[in-house]
Parts: sequence; structure tokens; C-alpha cells
Amino acid sequence: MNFWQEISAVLEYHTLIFKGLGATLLITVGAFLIGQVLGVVTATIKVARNNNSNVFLKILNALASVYVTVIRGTPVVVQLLLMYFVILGASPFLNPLIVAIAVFGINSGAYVAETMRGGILSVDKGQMEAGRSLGLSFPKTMVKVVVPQATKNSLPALFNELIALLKETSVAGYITVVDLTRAFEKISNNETSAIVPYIMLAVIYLVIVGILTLIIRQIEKRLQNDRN
Amino acid sequence: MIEIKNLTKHYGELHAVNDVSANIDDGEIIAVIGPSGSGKSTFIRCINMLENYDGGQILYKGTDIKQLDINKYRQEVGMVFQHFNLFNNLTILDNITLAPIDKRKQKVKELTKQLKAQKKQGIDISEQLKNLPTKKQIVQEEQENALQLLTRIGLADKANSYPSQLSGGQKQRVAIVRALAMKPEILLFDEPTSALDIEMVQEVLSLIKQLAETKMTMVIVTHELKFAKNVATRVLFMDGGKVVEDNTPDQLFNNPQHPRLKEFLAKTSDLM
Repeated sequence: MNFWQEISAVLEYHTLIFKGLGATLLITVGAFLIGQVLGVVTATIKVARNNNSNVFLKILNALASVYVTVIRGTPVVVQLLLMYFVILGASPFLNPLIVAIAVFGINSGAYVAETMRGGILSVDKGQMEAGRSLGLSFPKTMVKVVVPQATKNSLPALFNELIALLKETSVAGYITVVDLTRAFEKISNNETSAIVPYIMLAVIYLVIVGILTLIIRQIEKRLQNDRN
Repeated sequence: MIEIKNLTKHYGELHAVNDVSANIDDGEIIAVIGPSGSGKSTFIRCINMLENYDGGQILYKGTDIKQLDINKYRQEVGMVFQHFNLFNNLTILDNITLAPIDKRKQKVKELTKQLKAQKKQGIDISEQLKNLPTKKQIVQEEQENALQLLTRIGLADKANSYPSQLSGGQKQRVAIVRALAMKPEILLFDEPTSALDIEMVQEVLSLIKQLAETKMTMVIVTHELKFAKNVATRVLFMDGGKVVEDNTPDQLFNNPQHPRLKEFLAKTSDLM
């Protein structure tokens, strides 16, 4: 078989490829959203702790520290395996795709937490003071005033996180998810050739990241033009 | 309205506010003057609990403010900052309406809860429930109110601008209006003109003067001695964390008693 024949042989599996692509994108987007929420909440707890010696906050803060330390200190593959085979016991009712979204989301949250913490600290203290002086509660001021500004300040780092996340999801196959990488692994096994499928796989990731980067540049440009 | 008793605030060894007592009565306009580092700002920030004081008591209408719901207390005690602190991510209109809308929505929520408790006792509440404003009505009313306030200060055309598009003087006037939109009982000003270019100081001072004419109760920390003399009903002179002299502007400026005040006035006489 020549090179072109091999490519068209791989493309015979387009249903499998699209299924894998769908899983990869779904995990990425789902995990990114979960990560944002977890990250903002964790960062808020850490920042609030600095201004308050409330016992409840102390406990939350300790939990947040454990969370960030454990997640950042262990490989995501290990987290996947632990969650799927140990914590959830590989029950036959489990949907591995959902487990993957959760694990990658929890993983991403720990990184976003550190980014957002920096972002929140970069917002002028006067913004929080003004909100509080008007009788707005701490959470309300956070949500309406501080976090939007912090997010804008951390946007480049958050977009990096999205791209890193997309690539990290390639290990989802460890818990039987058929993502893009696992799909091409299967194709390669069936076709008993590695070169063409894996080169194609790499190109597909490259193209997705390329498209994402273009979109992100547009968003950043638009935000720069916005004067707020 | 507000009684301050033996207020003390330390920063480590430094007594930023040292055993200060003062009363603020309805309709009073109190200017707080004094050299930098005398504790004026810390004093006024304690009144709004932006600084947690470590000694003494502040009573609001007879109740210790540490026993009050802090957010409700602050809804009645407005604050204007040296650096304006407008919300950078919101338009001017949203800056003004954010807190009042939140306040009124909460009030409606509380009322609904109370009414529902009555309903459990078999009282018909449908009529009262109907009379509560909807969220949409609240938003609309507060936006109209904000636009009226903006019109009053000649900035209605800036309603949809962002803070970064305004000059310093405009920002501070919006900040004052933002505090007013809460319909506070008292307004606290922490050096409202210190961060402004000289040519913008007057527009802010004249707005505060207009408020003074409406008998708004105010406490103004300021370096504008002439303004303090003309607008205040009472002046506090602070030095080293203490209120050294507390008198009418006429007495305080024309007949100073304390040697430290005499020295301060002599050094700043070119500002009068």
C-alpha cells in the first residue's frame, strides 16, 4: 500500500474518528467548565482566608490546600485510574466518559485555582471595599465585581489551561473512553501500521489547537478594544 | 445618630486611632482635618467597619454596630473614597444601580418570606404579595433613579460609558451619586479630592456643598481647609490618633486653643 492508500484506509474509519473527536471535545469543554467553577471557588476561599480568621473558613482553606497539593502533586493518569477503578470501583453502571469529564475537571480546577488566586489579588483592593461599603455581601461583590476583573486579568493563562487540557485528555483511554487518541490506536491495531494513523492523529490535534488559538486571539483582541 | 466611644485602632505598636470619642448628630456636617498620618482616614474607615477597631464602641442609633447586620448597616452609611473605586467592569449606570437593586431584591425576598409565614397561620396574603414589586420593576425604577441622579450632576450622557472613559472629577461625582442611590442616612468622605487634578477639585466640592444644603449628614476627611471652614458645621482636628480639638469652624479656625492646632494652621495658612 502506498501512502495515499493508507490514508484512505484510515479514513474508512471516519465514524470511529468522529466519535473519538466528539469524546475529546466533550471532555475538554466539560472539564474546562468544571475546572473554572472549582478554581474560582477554591481561589476565593484562599483569598477570603487572608482577611478573616473565621473557623469555618479555616477548615475550608485547609481542604482547599489539600485539594490543590494532591492534584498538582500526582499525574492525571493516576487520578483517572484511582477514580475509575478504586474510588468508583469500575462499576458496570459507570459511564467512563462522565468519569473522565469529572476527573479532568477536578484536575483542571487545581491549576485554575492558582491562576485565579493571582488574578483576584491583582484586582485593586478598593473594588472589594467599595462593594462592601455599599452593603453588598462578600460573595456578591466577588461574583459581580472582583471575579469578572480577575478573569479578564488571567485570561491568557486560562486559555493556556484550555489548550493543555485538550492535549491531556489523550490519556482518557486508560479508563476505556474511546477518545481521539484511543480511536486511532484501534485503527492502527487493525491496520497493523502505525506511521500513518499516528501522524494523522498528531495533525488533528495540531489543527484543533490551531483553531482554538485563532479564536482566543480574536477574543483577546476584542477585549483589548473594549475600554472597560 | 452615631456615637463613637473611646475608639482605638492599633497597627502593631502604632496607635492609628487612640481613644477617640465623638458624636455625629442628624444634619451635622463634620470636617475632619489634620496632618497626614494623624489617623483621620483610619477613623472614618472604622465608622464603616472597613477597619476592624480593637477598642471602644460605635453606636448607630443606640445599637453597637458590631451587633448589627453589617451589610444592612452599610446600606445606611455611604462611603466615598479617595480613589473613587468605581467598579471597572461595569458601566456607570450599573455602578450606580448594582447595590440598590440588590438591596431591594433582598427586601422583597424577606417580605415574601414573612408573608408566607403568615399564610401558614391562615392569613390571606394574596393582596400583599401582589403589591410587592417584581424584579423587573425594581431594575427599571432604580435605573430611572440613577439616570435622574446622573442628570443632576450633568453626566446622563455617560450612563453607558465605563469608568476608564471618565475624568477623575467625573468619576468622583459618579461615586458620590452611587453612594446617594442607596438613600443613606449618612455619608462618609475619605479625602474625596486628594487624588484629583487641581482643576477638578471644585466640581467635586461644589457637589458636596449642594448635598450640605439638603441637610445630608456627612463626615468629610479633607485637606481642603477653606472648604471645611465654609461648609462644615463642626470641625475635628486630629493629631497623633487623637481628636485634639472639636469645635465650630469659626472657633476652631479663628480662635484655635491647642498649640498643635495653632502650629498646623500657621503652616497651612496659605490654603485658607
